[in-house]
Amino acid sequence: MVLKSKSVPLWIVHPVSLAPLLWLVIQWFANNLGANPIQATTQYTGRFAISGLLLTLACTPLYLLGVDIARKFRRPLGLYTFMYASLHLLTFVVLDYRLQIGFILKNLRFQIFILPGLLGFLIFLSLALTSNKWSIKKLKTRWKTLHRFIYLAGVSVLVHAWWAKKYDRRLILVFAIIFITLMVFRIPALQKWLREKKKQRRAARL
Amino acid sequence: MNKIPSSEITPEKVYSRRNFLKKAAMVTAGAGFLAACQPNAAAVINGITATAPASDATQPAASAATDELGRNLTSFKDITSYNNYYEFSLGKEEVARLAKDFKTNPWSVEVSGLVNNPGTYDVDQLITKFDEEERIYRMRCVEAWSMVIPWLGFPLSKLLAEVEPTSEAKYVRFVTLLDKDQMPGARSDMFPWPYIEGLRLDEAMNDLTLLSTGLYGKQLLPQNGAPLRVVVPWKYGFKSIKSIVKIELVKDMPISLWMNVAPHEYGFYANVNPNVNHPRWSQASERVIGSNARVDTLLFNGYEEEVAHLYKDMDLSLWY
Repeated sequence: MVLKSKSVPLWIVHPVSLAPLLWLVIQWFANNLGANPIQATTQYTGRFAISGLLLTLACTPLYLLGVDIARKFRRPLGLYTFMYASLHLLTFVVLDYRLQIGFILKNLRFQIFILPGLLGFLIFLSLALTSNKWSIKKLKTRWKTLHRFIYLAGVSVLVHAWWAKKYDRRLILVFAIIFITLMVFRIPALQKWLREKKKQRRAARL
Repeated sequence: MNKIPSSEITPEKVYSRRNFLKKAAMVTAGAGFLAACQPNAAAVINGITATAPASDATQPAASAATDELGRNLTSFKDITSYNNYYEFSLGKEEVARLAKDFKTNPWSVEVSGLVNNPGTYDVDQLITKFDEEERIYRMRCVEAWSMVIPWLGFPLSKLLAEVEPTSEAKYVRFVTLLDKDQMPGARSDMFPWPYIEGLRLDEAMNDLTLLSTGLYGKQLLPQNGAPLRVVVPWKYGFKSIKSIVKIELVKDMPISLWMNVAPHEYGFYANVNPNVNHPRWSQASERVIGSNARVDTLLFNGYEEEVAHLYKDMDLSLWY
């Protein structure tokens, strides 16, 4: 179960994270996204934003379970999550509403499903802006507090997706189950126990 | 948001091509008519459309290129490949494939309940009995997208006049076929099948309300509700019930499938109304399929003149 850092090169995260975007761009220009390509693009980027978030949240549990390298994937995966969330929002604002910001804002109070999505995006934005060594140094202990808002972002984007769908929410249910599973690892007692176990394994190896 | 953007207006080049296509389609329609004289007409016509490659060459023509507001007709390809028909699939783009072998001939529809002359009609019999006409209607889905569709059909009022509703009849209740062998989506218990819809009798008698058997001059394909469906253009698409096997005149307001599964979101009336929003999203604008443009949603989907009087003393935010 213990993976050596060398076995998976870190750069692999870039092609893997960019492949879905490349596929989308090809499908868009091949006119292959069906009768409602804007909706297809919106849903596609949204799905990958949530998938990216779940992968980001999986890094720490994987690390605790012995996949040491997972910890190093956390920041790039988080930033790619932000990229897909931005593309999702841009699809809505630019492709769908053709930059009619006034109309979007005027109508926002009736677009209930958008509100938790927007909250999630603002959290992603502040986390992306502070995902660098300089911010970690500058913010000190507050950095950790700030980045724990990722859990709230997770809940709010799941609510957003749930409200956006008319009726068929099977995929969102799967996302939610994975999210809850990953949140279990954040239970302090469990996390403490896992960290101790990990320390013991490391000590045994030395 | 108020005007149809200039990109929406058909350029002349496309228009002249449409004219060409129209002529080409007349020839094809002629061939279709000949085929219709054959005993297995449905199979022949369905066969042609099902196997034809999806390109502009398969685009049939209608009597006009736009509706009365100047909105372009949605392409045949989009109308027949983007369908909400949950008895087949929850995925709009899956329906055409899953419904391709759906058996629509023979097909009979039972008209019963509070009527003087109940009866069971064969669809072919209805088509010969009532003259079919083309009606170009906008279709606004509750999911905030829309199409413009050239339907073929006859006013439901003609059939209702034939069966003579009694004075007790206040509503019309429609039922879709439930055949789990042919409808893979209906095997799921996510919905309380069969699909049920309803109209108030005066809504059903309105001249706009159509019983449709075709579109773009051809017989309906299964994904569009073949062989017989309702079209109520001033209401959200889900009111236009597909593949009907039963029309029943009743005294009390029928409970539709959507009222049953989500009563706080979907009411009996479901009139298109930009001022009455869905609890989770705005109904102020809609995306036009085919052009990706977004346009303002119109009160009663632009049929205010024809239907507003039906609701004159009603609070439409209460009777959503």
